[in-house]
Amino acid sequence: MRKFADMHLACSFRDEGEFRALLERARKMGFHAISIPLDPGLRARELSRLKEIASEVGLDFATRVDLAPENRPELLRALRRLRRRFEFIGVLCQNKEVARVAARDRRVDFLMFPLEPKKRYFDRSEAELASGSNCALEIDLMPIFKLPLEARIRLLAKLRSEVALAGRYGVPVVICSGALEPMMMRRPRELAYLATLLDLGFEDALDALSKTPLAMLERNRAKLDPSFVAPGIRVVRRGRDCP
Amino acid sequence: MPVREVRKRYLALKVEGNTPGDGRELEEIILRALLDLFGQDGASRADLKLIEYDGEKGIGIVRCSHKHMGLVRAAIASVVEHDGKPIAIHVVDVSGTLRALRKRLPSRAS
Repeated sequence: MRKFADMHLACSFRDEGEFRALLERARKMGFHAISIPLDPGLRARELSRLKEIASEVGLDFATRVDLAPENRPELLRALRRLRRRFEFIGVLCQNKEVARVAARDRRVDFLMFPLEPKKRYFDRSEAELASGSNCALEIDLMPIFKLPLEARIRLLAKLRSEVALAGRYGVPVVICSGALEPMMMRRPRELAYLATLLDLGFEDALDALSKTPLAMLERNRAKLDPSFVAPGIRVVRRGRDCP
Repeated sequence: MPVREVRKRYLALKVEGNTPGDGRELEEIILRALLDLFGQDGASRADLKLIEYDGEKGIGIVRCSHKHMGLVRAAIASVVEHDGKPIAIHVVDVSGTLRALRKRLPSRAS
């Protein structure tokens, strides 16, 4: 059976109770793993408490931070500071400079773009850069349907061309709800049906909600493990008996 | 065994938030979403029909064409607002016959 993941629940929570309620709702909807952008200032103890709550609920919680840098140095500084602390890093590319650096940098997991079609810089050059690094194109579906009709039509057309471009260059696409409030959360299959609006086949849409994000999570967790040295190399044992 | 020319699918729905008062209102919400996303052509092909709706529980059943169920499910999932207030319509079960769906509905909709 498929395991589904919503790697961008944009709902905010004030305390543990609200966080638990969000997770319970996600689990009831059929998700196996979720991620909510967190405050970059959270300490390791607080992060592990969130994971603890999630495992009590029966969900896999991936820690994630979203960056919205204005220029290259700001992005690189944030990546240096945060990469080892969070399992996912998403970058909201608000200008071309940031978009190009984020697509090239292997520390970035998700490329995100604003909802205005003119500010989405996922063109051929961006796709080519992204295909050489680890990052995926993230598409948040639910905020699209909050837009007025005309803006929604233009955005859907732009997203269709981005998905086609990502497919041509082998950039993984990750479909998320991007729900800003619990009422905007949808079941995995509902999201997959919505993703078919972007000319993704139904099976590909299901993959973008399950296989792709979960493979990224596994890869990132392996990288954050203290025994990780390089892809394919990890420390098995330490001690004097190891020549 | 003879196969029907036009196969149907029955969708069990659970409405949350600004729940519509009656079935006609619910049908209208879904139809408007279908029209917005797929136009008159898509909406007519979907062959949508409301079978029943319990406004108090927010549970309903709609029927659509088997071939175009994807359109209906996408349209239903895209509904986020009704009269300016948040609403969510979830498809909790799908069946080819009304009898099987009604049998399963109490356990699925809880």
